[in-house]
Amino acid sequence: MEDGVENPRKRLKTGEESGHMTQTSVGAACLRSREKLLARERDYTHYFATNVGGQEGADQFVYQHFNSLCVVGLAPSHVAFRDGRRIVAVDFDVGRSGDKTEVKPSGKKKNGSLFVKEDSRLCDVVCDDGSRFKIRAAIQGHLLEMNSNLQSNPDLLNLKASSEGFISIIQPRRELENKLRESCKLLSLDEFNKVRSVESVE
Amino acid sequence: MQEAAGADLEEEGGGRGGGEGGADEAMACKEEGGKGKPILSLPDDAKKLLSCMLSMTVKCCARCMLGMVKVRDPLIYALSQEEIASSIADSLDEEGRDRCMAETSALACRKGDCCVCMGLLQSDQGEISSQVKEALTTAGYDVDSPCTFMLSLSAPSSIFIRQYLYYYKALEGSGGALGVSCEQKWIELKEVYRLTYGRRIQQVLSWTIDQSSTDSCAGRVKVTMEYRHEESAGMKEVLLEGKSVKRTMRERRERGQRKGNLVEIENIIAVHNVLHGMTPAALLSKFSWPPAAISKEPELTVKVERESVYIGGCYCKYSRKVSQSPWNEAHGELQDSVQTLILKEIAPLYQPEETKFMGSGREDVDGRPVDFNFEKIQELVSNLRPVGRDYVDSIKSSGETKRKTYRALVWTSAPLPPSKLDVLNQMQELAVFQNTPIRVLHRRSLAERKRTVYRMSAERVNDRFFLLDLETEAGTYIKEFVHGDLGRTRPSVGGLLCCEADILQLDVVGVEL
Repeated sequence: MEDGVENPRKRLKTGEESGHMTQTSVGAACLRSREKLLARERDYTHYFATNVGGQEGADQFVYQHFNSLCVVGLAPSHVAFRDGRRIVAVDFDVGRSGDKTEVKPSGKKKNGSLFVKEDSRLCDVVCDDGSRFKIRAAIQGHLLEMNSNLQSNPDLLNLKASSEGFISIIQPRRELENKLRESCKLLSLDEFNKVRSVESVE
Repeated sequence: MQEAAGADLEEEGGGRGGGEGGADEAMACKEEGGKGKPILSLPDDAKKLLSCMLSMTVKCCARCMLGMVKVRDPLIYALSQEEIASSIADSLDEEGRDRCMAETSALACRKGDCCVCMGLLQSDQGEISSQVKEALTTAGYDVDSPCTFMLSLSAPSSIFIRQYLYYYKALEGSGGALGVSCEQKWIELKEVYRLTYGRRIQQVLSWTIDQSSTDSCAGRVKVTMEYRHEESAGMKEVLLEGKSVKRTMRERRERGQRKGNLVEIENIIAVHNVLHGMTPAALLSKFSWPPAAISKEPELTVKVERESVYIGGCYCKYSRKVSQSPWNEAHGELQDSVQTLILKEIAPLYQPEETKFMGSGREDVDGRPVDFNFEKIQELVSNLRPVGRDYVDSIKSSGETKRKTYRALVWTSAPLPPSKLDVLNQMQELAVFQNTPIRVLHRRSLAERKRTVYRMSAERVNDRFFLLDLETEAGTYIKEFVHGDLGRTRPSVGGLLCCEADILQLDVVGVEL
């Protein structure tokens, strides 16, 4: 850059001179963002499915990211958490297609991913009282990832079921991604709260 | 020499004039007496080959013959078939001339009767020129102001097979008097084509042909003369014996389309390779001679394209509301982006069919309710200039070696005592394993990537907030490094602090190349 044109990269020393975030300027941002601070609350729309696969108490959440991908996991009201039960193991080697953690989609198009339907069985959770519950996909789409961390650390389900204890990531079919709620009969957070509190009163 | 593409009669007259006028100015050394006709002087080998070709019963046009004997003088190609025939006759000795005279009618065979080019080289030069002119005018080019362009030819593959067949037959006729030279048997068809029509096209357009292939040619207009001939396509299949007859390729995709349609294109390279590697005997046994007469000449379409132009520069983004590239329409209205803003200024100057914006670094707006975006502290847009292909490559490769510094505002779920931040400050060269973040998983492949966070320094704002300065390897997903992406990025700031953390605002402070 001898020709008098200043190399912009040389100027990248400190942030302050260009009005970067400083202690004083962050206050407003803090206030503005009190509402939804966590990525999973801000970036995802929360849906729920009750009694998935016709099984009483099989409640699951479906968090849809704004890019349409869905994170599926166990809702707090899932029967596996009721009556003081704790999950002690997750068995991924179930159903016809075998161990779901082995299915590795490849490339941008996720070639080789498994297509699942609402009642496709993803895995089983085993509780400390010996009971076993089938976990299903709850929505239709391509299975991109199973949370293999659960294999070594099933306690994530007891502690952080709605974040690190998620079950799987599913890409809804393109035709369905904008009307997922109707087509897979999902409940909004409000509807879900209503349904579950009514039941608990009864 | 400006000629209007007008009535046929004018064209005819103009054609002759063009040929002779050209001879006057450029080929003075080759003129003889007052005839004003370029003289063909050939080496002995070429003369022998010519006599052999003339004695063949199957007719081939005069320009094809010139190509076969490697004549490169455009003035001769500019002549009419009859004139070329007489030039050829003049160049041969007595014996050869007698034979040639007898065959003159064969030389000037009717258009489309040539067993090699099937009429490709027999068209009227004025007609071809006006077709090119029309195509360029339709595409919106000013054909009257000087410009350079590239003239390329896409010919039916059967012509190449016919060239070989004809040449081998001619050698056969010579009774072994001529040895087969493997290296460049004749002038390539595309060159003969340019010799035949290029001169005239340049006169009609006041444009110059430039076939060089250097960086300075960026944006050059490319005129492709595309000939299609389904009738003779069978020859290629016989030659290739069914393997890789056609190659499929994706068309340029249209706006809103995910990918271009598949089209079949002629597999010319395979044809050339097979022809080159085949002995004369093997080739002649594959095809009958003479080749079947054609009922229709190849069809010509003139395609006008431009080669890619690359424009490079640096920019500086001060707004959090402007993203780098237009955000997915499905998630809210399209707002200004660096890409659209820059292209809005540049596009009218180039009127491109298609544009691509390539950033060095891919920070994109996050589309979330909290103002969330990146600032690049560089000059606004500086040093915008045309660049070469190598600049593009350097941007691509620099992606692997860059270091970036960021400043982030982080929130934690639990109040942190000031001492806790030391955990972060003490970190050096922290290896981070990131599964493709859910945020981008819909358009990136799923993989685990190892990235390095070279240095971190946290500055406490209050119990729940702190400013985090980071220096990381290019390609680190910062947001995910802070909040952990559901445990898919390990370790994460939240994990290191034993609470949940999230990022509210992020600035790019610097980029080191």
